[in-house]
Amino acid sequence: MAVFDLQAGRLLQGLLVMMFLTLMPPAMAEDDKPVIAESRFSSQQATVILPLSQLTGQSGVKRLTGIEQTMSWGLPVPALWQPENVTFNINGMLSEALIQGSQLQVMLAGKVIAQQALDGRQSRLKMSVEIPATALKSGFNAMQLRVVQHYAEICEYPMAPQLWTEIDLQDSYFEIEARPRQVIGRLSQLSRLFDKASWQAHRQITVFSALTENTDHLAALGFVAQGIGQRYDYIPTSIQHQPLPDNRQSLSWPMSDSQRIAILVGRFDELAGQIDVAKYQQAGGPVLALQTLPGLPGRYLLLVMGETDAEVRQAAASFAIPGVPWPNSDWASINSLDIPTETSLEQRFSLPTAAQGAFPLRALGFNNQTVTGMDSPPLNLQVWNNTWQGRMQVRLHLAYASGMASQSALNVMTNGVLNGSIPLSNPQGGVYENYAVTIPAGVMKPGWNTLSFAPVMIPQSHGGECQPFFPGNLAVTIYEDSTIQKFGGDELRRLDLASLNGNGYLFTEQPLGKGIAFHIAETDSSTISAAMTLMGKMSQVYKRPLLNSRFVLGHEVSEDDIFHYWVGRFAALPADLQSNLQLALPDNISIDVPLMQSATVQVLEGAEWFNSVMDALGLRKTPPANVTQVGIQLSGDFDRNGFALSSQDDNGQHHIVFTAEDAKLLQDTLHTVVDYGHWGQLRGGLAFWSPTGSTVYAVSYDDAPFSAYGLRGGLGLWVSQYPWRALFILLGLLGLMVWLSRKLLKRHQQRNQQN
Amino acid sequence: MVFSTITKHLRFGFWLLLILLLINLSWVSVSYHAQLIVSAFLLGGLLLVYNLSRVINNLNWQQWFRLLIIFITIFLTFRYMHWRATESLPMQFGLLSMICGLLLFLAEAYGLVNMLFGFFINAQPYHRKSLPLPADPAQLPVIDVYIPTYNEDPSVTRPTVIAATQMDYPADKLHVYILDDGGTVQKCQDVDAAKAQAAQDRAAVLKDIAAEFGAGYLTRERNLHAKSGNINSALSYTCGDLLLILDCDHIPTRDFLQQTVGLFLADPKLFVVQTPHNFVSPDPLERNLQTYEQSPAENELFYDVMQPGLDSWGTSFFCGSAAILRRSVIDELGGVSGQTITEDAETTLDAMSRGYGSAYLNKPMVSGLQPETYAGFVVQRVRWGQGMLQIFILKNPWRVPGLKLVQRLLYTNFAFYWGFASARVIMLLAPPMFLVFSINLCDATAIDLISYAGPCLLAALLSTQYFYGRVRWPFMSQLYEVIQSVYVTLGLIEVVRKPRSPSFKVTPKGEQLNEDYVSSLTWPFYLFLGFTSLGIVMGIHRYLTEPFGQAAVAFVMFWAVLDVMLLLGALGVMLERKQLRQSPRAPHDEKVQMQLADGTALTGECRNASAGGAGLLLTGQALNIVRFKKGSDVQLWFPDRSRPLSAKIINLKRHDKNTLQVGLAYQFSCVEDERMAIDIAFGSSQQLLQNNQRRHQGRSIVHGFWIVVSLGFIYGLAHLRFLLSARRGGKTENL
Repeated sequence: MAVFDLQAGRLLQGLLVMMFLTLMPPAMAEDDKPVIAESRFSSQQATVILPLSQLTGQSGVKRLTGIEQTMSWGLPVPALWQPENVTFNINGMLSEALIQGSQLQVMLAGKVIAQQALDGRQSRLKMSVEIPATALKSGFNAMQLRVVQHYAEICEYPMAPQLWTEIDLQDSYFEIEARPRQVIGRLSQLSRLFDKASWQAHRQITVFSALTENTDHLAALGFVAQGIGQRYDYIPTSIQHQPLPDNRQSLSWPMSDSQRIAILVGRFDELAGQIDVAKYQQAGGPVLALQTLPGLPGRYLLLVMGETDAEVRQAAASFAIPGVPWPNSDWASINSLDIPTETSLEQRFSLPTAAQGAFPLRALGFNNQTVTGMDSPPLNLQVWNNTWQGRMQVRLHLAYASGMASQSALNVMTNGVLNGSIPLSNPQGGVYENYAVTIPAGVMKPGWNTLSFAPVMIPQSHGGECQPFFPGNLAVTIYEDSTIQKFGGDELRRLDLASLNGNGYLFTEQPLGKGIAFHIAETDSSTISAAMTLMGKMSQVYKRPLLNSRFVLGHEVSEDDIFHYWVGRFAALPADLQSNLQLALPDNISIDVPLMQSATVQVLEGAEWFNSVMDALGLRKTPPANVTQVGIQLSGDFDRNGFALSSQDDNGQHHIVFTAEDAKLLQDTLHTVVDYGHWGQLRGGLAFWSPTGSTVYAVSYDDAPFSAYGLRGGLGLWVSQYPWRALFILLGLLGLMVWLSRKLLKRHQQRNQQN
Repeated sequence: MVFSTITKHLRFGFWLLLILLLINLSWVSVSYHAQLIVSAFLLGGLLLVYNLSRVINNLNWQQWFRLLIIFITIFLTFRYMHWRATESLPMQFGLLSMICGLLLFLAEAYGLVNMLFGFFINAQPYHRKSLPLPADPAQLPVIDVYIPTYNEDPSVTRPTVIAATQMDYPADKLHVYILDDGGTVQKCQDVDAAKAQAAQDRAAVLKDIAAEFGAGYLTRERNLHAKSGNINSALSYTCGDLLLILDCDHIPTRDFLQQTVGLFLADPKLFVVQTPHNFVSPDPLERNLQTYEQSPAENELFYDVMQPGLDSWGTSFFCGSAAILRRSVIDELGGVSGQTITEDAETTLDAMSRGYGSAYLNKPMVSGLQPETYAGFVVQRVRWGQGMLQIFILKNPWRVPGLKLVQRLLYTNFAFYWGFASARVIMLLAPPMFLVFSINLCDATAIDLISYAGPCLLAALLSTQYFYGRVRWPFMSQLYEVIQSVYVTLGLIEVVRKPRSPSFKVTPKGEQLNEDYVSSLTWPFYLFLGFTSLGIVMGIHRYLTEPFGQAAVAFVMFWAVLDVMLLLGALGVMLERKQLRQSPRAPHDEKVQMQLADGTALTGECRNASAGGAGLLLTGQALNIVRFKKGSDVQLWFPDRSRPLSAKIINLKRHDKNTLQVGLAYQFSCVEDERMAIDIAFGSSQQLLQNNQRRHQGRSIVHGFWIVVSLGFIYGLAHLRFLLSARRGGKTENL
């Protein structure tokens, strides 16, 4: 299970914004600091303040150094809002050494829209830029701040330390006045209605449906949740389920001002009280339709309908597939939907086994990436390691540009530890097709590991000493067909909550969610809300709809199910599941706190080859690592928390349970935990958090670093350490061998060769 | 007694334990630093031992040196192979790369096993001595000498018959037979009248030869079971105690029976005494690359080194000729075995399974002919390879009852050895596959190669030089392997597909080559050369355009250049040179007096001799006053021989005022003259031994390398020049 996560492109910048929004402590909202204006989005004009820190995902200041440097970010403009006045206020400090000719440029979509001289005599930087609203487009708008800095007229050292400008990311902000924008209510515009570009960190969507235990209906809700999750891609989304109101006018009351769209799910006969279904019914079959709410321009209602619950399910399934090109009309009926059979998908999803898995970076979500320029950030890859002691080999396919100095290199690091350095030293550039870097056992920890490709690219000429400075042609591309392979190790069979973080599906996913079941303990709106929120999140995690997963009520088990996600208040969970959890709400929780980990590290001895063969034949198992832990039972105000737990039952079934004391609390805590900050903190076997807090409390063996190693053998180490002694002993053994062989041969000769 | 047995077993157990410990040590992964220190020191030790072995000739010391060299080389090779198996296999570069890499690894693993077999065989060679015959002739066994022939020219058989009938042995106990399979009723009544007439004519000549020299002539109805059938047919007509089998071109020395029969009298369980096949004509490599005068014969590695080693383990085997067999054992076996096309080794295996032994006497006592052409050479080697594999498949030594473990093991090796051909094909393909198609075959860095491959390679070169340097120049084996590789591989594949399909093909001998031509079997080597040359061109391109992979490309290009030199050498072998001389001429050292028609007598030395003539080197001031003419008649007096030989001068070459080289053709006046000529040329085993030892001047590794490179350049390029200038395909031969 692994996920790739890197900085690149507008989408990711948006992601960082959202992540930052979630991670920001409450203190951010102090009075003297600019904050997002509390949403008052209705049909009226609104004002929003977006600090640069939120858009760049960084706090503090950004220091721009050297003779020239640029910082980039994306400015989101939601499709449902039309900016009217946008002001970019820049605040910061600049070096007193800057002389005439230094300047700051503000660029929008590659065009300079404003510039200001940087004069070192005025050490404070203050600039206000009116951004032409008409130049802003829906979505993410590429913006850049570019500085050109000088401290001398001639013979300037381009990397001189006095060349700097600091941009205060919190004091620099956008002030946006906007009014709601009408989007034509066509199905072809669905992607604009579920818009990733937003000034909000968290989406909330209301889904109306009847409260029923019908299997198809529940499955339809699951598909709707996936459709929502898929459309928002990576943005945390809460789904709020509401029972069908009595009339159309009541549809709007549960929606907050910021909500622009709601979804209505049900059979024609169920929805007849809220909408006119006649024309849809006449068309027959499953129907997807879009309507505006009467009297509320800019607010939309998506209808997922059918004659029967099965048809509703089919309509919902089609909504779950984000790639469907819907017609440019306000409704469409689905005549047929052929989902690939599980059998046909088996081979396409044949994944390597845990211990010997080899896979391209592409399988981890990595796309071809080019890093350019000096001080370029590392490319980080999250790799889920589900084995103890196994080593890993990374084989990189990369190309680098000509014109770099011989000191240039690409460092391969794991969890901050350097494992190998690939020279990018040929001034003419070059290509490595399979440059192997081995990550030894012990560097990889069980769970998430960060694999970093950190380029250090140096131009051939640094300038200075009146030499011309060339920024150089600094670039390295890492291709997605580079591979990672894990060797050996004992498969970690315990399911860790950390595997929920990212698209860590490599070793768990079956074809399109086959084997995954979402169990709802009860069919009340709060529980359904929580379960749909989780379902939406998981489809985002897996980066594709889980059409083969099941969204069911209670303990309905299929033979194919392996992974069970339970959502429900604690008391409503099945008794056998309850007894398997380290939880007894509201009384107490039991936690295993790891103190120390130890492992028998396999030393590379002569028998390694033999051991590998035995491993491959399944005749030998690497001794597992040991976690020394204490069990502690706690009582307290746990009835104010939501819980996530993982367990495995006697049948080898994995259970991940989201629960709380009551259903409303469960709904709130689920809405909280799907945020970036919280979701990333889930780990271990038990985690809990408050719906209003920013911290998830959890403990896992990952917290106890390896502190004891049992070295088996060690002859190789000894020989390496004392080669001369080893040689002496070896010569003795060889001498003994020769002497004994001579004796035996002589005896053979005497016996067999008489003449 | 019991204590002794326990001690023996304990010693062997301890030895096994030590072996396991050393194997385990050779598999320990250590730092490069430690690996380099240990390897460098062991290599230094190996070099020291090698040099000591060249100055200390004491047999006891040699035994210690031998074992030291074996174990040090094994240790370094095991370390290399372990590294290859665990660290360097290209498993990450795609399926094709994985398969090719594994094939290369298998080829190397084959080399390792072959090396281990070689070390095992040579751990303690047995230098057997002949045993004297009893003084009372009545105690001597009756000897039947079989000279099987099929389609060879009668002139090839004639000297053999003459020499066989004049071996030192009581005449009443020596019976010589020509076993003519070319004169069978089947051949003489061939539907092709021309063929039938030729068979009848040939048979008539052979009958005349037999009658003239007191030998018997035997033939049969049909040509069933080739050579073994021919011998088995003859068994029903003869009743000697021992059988001496001589190929029709294997001229025995006078003392052959004196040297060998005593071994049978001493050991009643002895089945066969094999002696070396000694050749007085060059093989195609020696002939076409002109190395015959200096280079040891190719077969000497087997007969001078391997067979004594096999003898020490009781597994030397009958090689089809120049060997004496016990008739009673043949009768017990129901005749010479004929299930495979190597009836000799098969018969030995059958005899061994019944508890009989074999012996090898390393003394050259026959003078034979090598196949003259590359095609003939290939026919011979393919037959050997196919036969050995047939034995392994049809008479699996691990399933034959009554064999000792070591006999099973070494008979496995006899078949395994021929895998060199496939391994060589893989080795030839590997560099261009990497250079042209970028298929990674070995995942290694420069430091890996220096630490593991370097010591292993140097140790292998040194140990090879120690064991075989006297009888094989360095890198000559590679050349022999290259020229056999393709056709032996195809032959072995045929056996694997249909184990019983190969038929016995007689090695063509005594062929005359009237003009230079390119062998028709050359074309696979053009492909190899073209592919490898393309690889080098691509390698240069890659070296210039892929600076990131320069080290690997350079290493493989060096390998490819070596292969090109070997392939050019192979092409040199395949450019067949014109050969007009009919009878082979062997070096000879004997005082001689040459008397001219006018009575002038000149002294000198006979420097070479053949069945039809001799080469003399005359010295003395008298040469200044005598006028020689080509065509003059002379008489030759050999001091130790009772009668003179008449001859005609056919060649004269003056070296200086006092030295003259004279070429003579004998003028026989009676049978006794011809007998004497054969005896002069081929009668002395001591002379044959001297001739061989004259060629046992080894070459250093560097010199050997240079020789192979120069041969490739000179003769390979000559081959290509011949192609360009002649623009003709040349004569064709069929296997």
